[in-house]
Amino acid sequence: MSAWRPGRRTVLLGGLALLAVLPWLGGPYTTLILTAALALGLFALSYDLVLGVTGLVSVSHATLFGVGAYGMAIGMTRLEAPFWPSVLLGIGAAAALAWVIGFFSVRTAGPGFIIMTVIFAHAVESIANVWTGLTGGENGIILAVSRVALLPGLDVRFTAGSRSAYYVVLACLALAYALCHWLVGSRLGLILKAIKGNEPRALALGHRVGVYKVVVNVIAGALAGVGGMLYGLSQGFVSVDLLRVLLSIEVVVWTILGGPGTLIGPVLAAILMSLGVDYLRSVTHQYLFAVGAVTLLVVLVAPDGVGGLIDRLLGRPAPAARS
Amino acid sequence: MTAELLLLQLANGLSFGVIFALIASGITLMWGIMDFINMAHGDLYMLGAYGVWLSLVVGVASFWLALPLAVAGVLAIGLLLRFTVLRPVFGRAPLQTLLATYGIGLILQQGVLATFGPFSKEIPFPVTGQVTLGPLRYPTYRLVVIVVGLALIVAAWVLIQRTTYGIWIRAVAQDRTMTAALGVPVPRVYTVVFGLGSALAGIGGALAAPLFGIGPTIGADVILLAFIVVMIGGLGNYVGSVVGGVLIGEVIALGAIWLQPTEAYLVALGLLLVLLLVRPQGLLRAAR
Repeated sequence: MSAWRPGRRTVLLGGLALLAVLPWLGGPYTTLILTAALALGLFALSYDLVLGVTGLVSVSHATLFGVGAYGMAIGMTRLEAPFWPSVLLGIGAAAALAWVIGFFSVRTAGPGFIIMTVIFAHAVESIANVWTGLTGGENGIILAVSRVALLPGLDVRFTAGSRSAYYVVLACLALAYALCHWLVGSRLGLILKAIKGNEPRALALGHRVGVYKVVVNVIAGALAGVGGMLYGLSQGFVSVDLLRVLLSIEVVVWTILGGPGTLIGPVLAAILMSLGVDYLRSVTHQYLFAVGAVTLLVVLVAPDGVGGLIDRLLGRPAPAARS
Repeated sequence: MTAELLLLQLANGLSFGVIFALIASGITLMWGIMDFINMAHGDLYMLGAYGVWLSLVVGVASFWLALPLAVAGVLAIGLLLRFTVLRPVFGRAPLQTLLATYGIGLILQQGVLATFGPFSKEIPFPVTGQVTLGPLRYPTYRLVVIVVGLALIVAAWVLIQRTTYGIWIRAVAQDRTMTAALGVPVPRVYTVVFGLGSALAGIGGALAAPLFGIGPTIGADVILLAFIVVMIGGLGNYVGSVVGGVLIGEVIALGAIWLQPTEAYLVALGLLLVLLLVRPQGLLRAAR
């Protein structure tokens, strides 16, 4: 072990600098893929508030990611609304659905919560598959935006593979990270951690645990919705793939591998693993085998994430697999 | 709408409900007894349907021979999983069983897709014709599904209520540590429960195959309704899952008179949400 250990801030700034130069190392296609990976990183970050910080197992997070993207896409195309109202519609849709899912799911005891989120996730996926007039089904909705006025005087080109889109997503990810970091340290964050640590005690201390669970689901859902919109904008279209149960499971895997509750871990895992899946998808049609195998292997080999796995390989005692 | 149509759909609802109950009872048993969330349960159902189809294709003479073969196949696959990849997962937290079984389900689905292709298969009704039930002329095969399904559901219930294994199963559900301390072989109880659940799902798939058609994603399609049934009946409650299954079967069948299938699913979901508002513990008292 060397004596010098870089501080958290140094590592973060270094990582940000690395991410900032990445799009200059490849062509537009690389930038396009990286942009998507960053948007998925933001998605995983929001999920860490739910699973990592609060210890709440939700299998409907991609539902919120996709509904946020669809809210914006439907606003921009079907309703022909301007950009910002469409964005608000997307965030509103994701937050509202998160509230509905949370409201009903917390009414059930223990694992009922998980199963309720599974039910909602499947239900929304079924609706989106069938209601093609609204969602465009497999083909999705094409977002014919090449230029978006984020602020007066600040136009961003959202054509496929543009660097400006990449930087917008990177900036949103950094902002969201700062927001989540602040949130975890706030009073609300402390209560959420108390719920994860010992729910009966948090209840006994007088915290309204059910309300906080809904609140964190709504905050994380709105953030996931933002991730979904950025993903949709950077890809130029929004499809049913964004709200599949499969993606909800993938974000659980990313969060576990990256280290639940560390915020940065799930982001890194999401970026790296989504790039890996992208690569697999480009070389074989059978990439879902690999996704299934990784999902299974995480449980068998690394239930405590990459960090826990390294600890175990080095012979350090690892905490038993929990939550 | 005539009274006859209503009666017919009520009877159809019973046949749907029996199939839902066959799937949901396995999910609820696995949860109630070993805290095991099985996301691959729908895929075991799917394998049951493919098992029947495959048996008929390779030359098994009759559906009634193919059915036990298919169920034996699903049981074998379920037990293989239980003793290999799933062995370390039993007793872990719900999130871990959920992920492991989802991964397995995805692999099973992709395996079937890669082997048999994406196109749906059909098998003919093993018994054709109709029987006259009072004012109603009803397809014989659906009546067979109802009778066979209900008989198996009752048989499984007797097994849980009356046999030594049944007593062990219920003891493990109540207090695993204490039961183990009393000398009950808990891992063997897990095997029995996992095997029973897998077999029930396989039977459901095999019986449903002539009615609903066969495809790689039929398991994923049915799992939504199965989970709704499980929640309505009370998670972990065997009788509840049967009652819930029949209830949802009727909702889907009656809904089919006026609605698209997905809209009928939504009515089922709405029913669950209303139930959660008035009775959060499920229709019958949850097992724990």
